[in-house]
Amino acid sequence: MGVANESRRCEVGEVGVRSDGILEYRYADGVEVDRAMASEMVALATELTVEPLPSLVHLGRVKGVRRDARVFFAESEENRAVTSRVALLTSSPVGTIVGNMFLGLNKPLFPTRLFTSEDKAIAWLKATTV
Amino acid sequence: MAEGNDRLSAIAAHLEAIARGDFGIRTEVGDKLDQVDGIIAAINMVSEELHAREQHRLELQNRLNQVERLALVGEFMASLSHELRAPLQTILSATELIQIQDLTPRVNALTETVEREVFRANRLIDNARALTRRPLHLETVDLAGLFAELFQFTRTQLGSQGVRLRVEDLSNLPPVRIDVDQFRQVTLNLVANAADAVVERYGRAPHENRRIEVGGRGGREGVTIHLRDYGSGIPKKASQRIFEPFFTTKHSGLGIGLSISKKLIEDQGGSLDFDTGPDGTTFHIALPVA
Repeated sequence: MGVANESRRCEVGEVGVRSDGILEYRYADGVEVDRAMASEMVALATELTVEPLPSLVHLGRVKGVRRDARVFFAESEENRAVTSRVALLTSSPVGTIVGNMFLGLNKPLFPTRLFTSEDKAIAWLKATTV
Repeated sequence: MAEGNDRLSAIAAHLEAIARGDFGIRTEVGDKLDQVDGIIAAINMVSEELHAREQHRLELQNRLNQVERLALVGEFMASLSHELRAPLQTILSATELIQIQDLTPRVNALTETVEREVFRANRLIDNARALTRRPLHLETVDLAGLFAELFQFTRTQLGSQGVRLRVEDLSNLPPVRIDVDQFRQVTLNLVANAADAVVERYGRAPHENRRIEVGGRGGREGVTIHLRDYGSGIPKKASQRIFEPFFTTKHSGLGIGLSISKKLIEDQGGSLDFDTGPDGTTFHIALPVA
């Protein structure tokens, strides 16, 4: 998270806010995100922003996201308070499937897209950033 | 190769489980995070989704069953109330005829009790019939006063069963906004159940626990009334079903009292639940403050 202005870390991963106003989430290798982990990460974001921001989520080497965590990301007030739109960045077949299924099954309440290129993800987030 | 075969076997086993309707199964995603792991992650997510949807379907089915049962209750009440009105009217007319006579004060008081109870029975019938259509008549009520009036007659009835009723000082509770007739019906129903539980446990034997206790806590968020008996508690299996219409553990009774009570309290913006154990059961009636 080289360009992060400020960041917070927990066992599940790290959340930072970049100088360009994008929230950036990175998960620890091999983690299967459950509801508690999802809450923990969003709670870290809440420490960094008081308004919804565009978010870049590195799915990295995540092994899966449990249903209750997906519902939390897609619909919860807590996440909506810090998220205006989401770019899911994937680099593995598992990440791609997790991302696609999140989009298909959970229908998040904010614009969400899946990317394999970080540059394109950032460009999409910035293009819609005020 | 062996590892690859193991993973494919795991996928096959998982899919067979799904085909059997076992959606609770999960398969460990490997560390390679390759295509095969991706398929395993996808199957895990599909299983979870199917499991959640199946649970949701069962809940809806359960609710539908309850609605169907309540509809049956409605039909049954309509028929029963029609049958009960006539004898109640006869009792009332006979009581009025008796009251015309020159009676002793004691008999006079008894006829007044009969009259009052007939009116109450009529009201209960009205309430039961109107379960699905009677509009609420919400009033701001002081529960201490309401209980004092309500339990005045209940105590005598309980006394004849050897059951004491202890009511905490409830004068500090804030006023609540409730439908008095419906709340009265719920309370009397719960007290009657509590008395049955105590009598069932101790029979005719005297015991310090032949009692029912009523207490309450409250604040700005609401008021909760606790009604505790010292019976043997509700068996675990039965405790999951006591709010279902027509479910009963008693030899007599229709098993509709608690389901109606729950509906009446919830209609008023409150809730009804309970704790139970081998030393008795406590019902909690949560009510909105005025």
